[in-house]
Amino acid sequence: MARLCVELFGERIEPAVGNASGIFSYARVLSRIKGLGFVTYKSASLNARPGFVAPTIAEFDDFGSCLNAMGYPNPGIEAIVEEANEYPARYPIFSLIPGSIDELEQMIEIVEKKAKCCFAIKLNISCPNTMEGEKSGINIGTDSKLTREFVEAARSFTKKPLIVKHTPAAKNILEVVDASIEAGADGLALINTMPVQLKNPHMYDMPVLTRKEGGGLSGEALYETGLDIVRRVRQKYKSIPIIGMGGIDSGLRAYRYFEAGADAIAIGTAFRGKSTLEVNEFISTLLLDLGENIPFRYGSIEELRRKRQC
Amino acid sequence: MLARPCKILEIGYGSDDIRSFHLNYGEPVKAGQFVVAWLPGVSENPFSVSYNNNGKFGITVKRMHHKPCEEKTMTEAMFDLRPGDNVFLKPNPRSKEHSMLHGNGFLDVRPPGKINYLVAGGIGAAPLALLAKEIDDTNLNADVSVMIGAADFKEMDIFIGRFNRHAHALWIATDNDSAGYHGFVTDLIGKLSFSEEESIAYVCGNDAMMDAAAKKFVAHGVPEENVVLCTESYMKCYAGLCGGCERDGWRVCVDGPVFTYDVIKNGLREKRDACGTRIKTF
Repeated sequence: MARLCVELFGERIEPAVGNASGIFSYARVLSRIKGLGFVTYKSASLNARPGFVAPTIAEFDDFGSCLNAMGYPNPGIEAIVEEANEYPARYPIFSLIPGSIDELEQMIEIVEKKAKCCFAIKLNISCPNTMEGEKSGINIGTDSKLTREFVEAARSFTKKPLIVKHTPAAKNILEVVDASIEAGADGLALINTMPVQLKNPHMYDMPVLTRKEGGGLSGEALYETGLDIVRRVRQKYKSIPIIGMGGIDSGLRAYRYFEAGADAIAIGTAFRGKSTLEVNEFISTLLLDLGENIPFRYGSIEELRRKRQC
Repeated sequence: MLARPCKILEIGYGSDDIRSFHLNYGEPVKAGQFVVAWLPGVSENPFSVSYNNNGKFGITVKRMHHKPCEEKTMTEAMFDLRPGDNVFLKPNPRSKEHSMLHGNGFLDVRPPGKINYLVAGGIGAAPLALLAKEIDDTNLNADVSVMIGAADFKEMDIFIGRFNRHAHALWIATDNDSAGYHGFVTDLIGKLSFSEEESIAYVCGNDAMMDAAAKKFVAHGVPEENVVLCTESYMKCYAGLCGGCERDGWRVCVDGPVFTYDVIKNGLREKRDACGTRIKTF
């Protein structure tokens, strides 16, 4: 569908729709998912990490919203890269969640040396499910100085397109995004999940997840926040590539993100509960909506982009 | 919808390490489907539904002992429970009706044929015991033959009466010669005489056993699409989102746990551990 394509980091991505990081996670799972223009793998740490003990995810709001404290379980960046080589995708994004500048350097080196194909490297400075005292994820993304430090370091370690994923929990999101862009980010992923706590009234208000601080909110409850942040960042920065995500579950919601200024979008929570057949049907329906039905009523994505560039 | 408490009504004692928990909850179920039980402070794990009596569920659990340096396992914690205690069931995010059932059933994947073989390895008998009743209840006059294997006869004791009620034939194999045939349950498949009639094989046990059983059936002319396996995997999200339960690209928690052999055969040799690292199963 030519009308859903976008030029991103010199490549023609079609459609401009991908999976959110941590959704499906592994190259082999993604090899059965059809219709996405780009894929992002599970945020990887340098070494394998089991994450938190179950329960790590809870759905509420008639399953529209989700709270997760997975704790980024992953087999380590090297295993992720090896699997990506074995089950290749056309435009793969490797998401990294380093615990230190040193780890970041090692991880980027592994991706550069071992990945047969790498569309972009995503720096995750926004995962809320870090452990106490860890200098990673959201503990970086809520601090402009640390953000600058990590993005500058990443910039110095790689010439690949560098996307920085931001958290909605930053006190002043524009200040942190400023730091990212000045430090050399080529693109922004807006947004990661919102850190919240949820207790179960059927269980004497016990926290629903094992992680006592709660987890990251996604899905329905994140939609307005994600849209708002994309809008505000786009208002300030006319041309920085933005991948928008947060509660997209339909062609219309995807369109709203494009309207707010996103160049591409990603879907996560909306895939919950779906078999492989159902996921592929869902993507197909959403693309049909976004590419045909919605332009008919609201105008096309290209028109939005053209308007923005004036 | 969040997890709900569910009382344990009764406990059935099998061997030292095998017990059934009859729960104060029920809904229409297909054998193969599982519930997700949470014990706060311990863990949240999937369990195949094994009983559906008078509209109430039951699960049969094998206690796995923890290693000295590890924490108490979920199954060990379950064995501390008594009637009147609660487990918490996690609803299925697919279902607006707030069903507590996850996954698909054997008969969703392949309805019974004229002749049906149920092959159980160890605790794999749990969903198959329910399947035997389910096929019986269809009143299709389908022939049901059961083959059950375990390390020791005591481990299958809790299932024997149930299979006897619903199956036409029952063969037993034990590793330690405590009853029936001395050897693997998959050896019994070789002793069957297959007729021209369409046969469906429903198998549940560990990966090595299911692969061996499937290969034997295929060697006897049963097409791969007629060999139905109930798999398991390490699960984290129970929503098809995280990919942790993946086998050969299929997410077991939503695409399965029941698959036909042609679909899952490449996925039996490998699964993922808690980190998502791919590990060999056999």
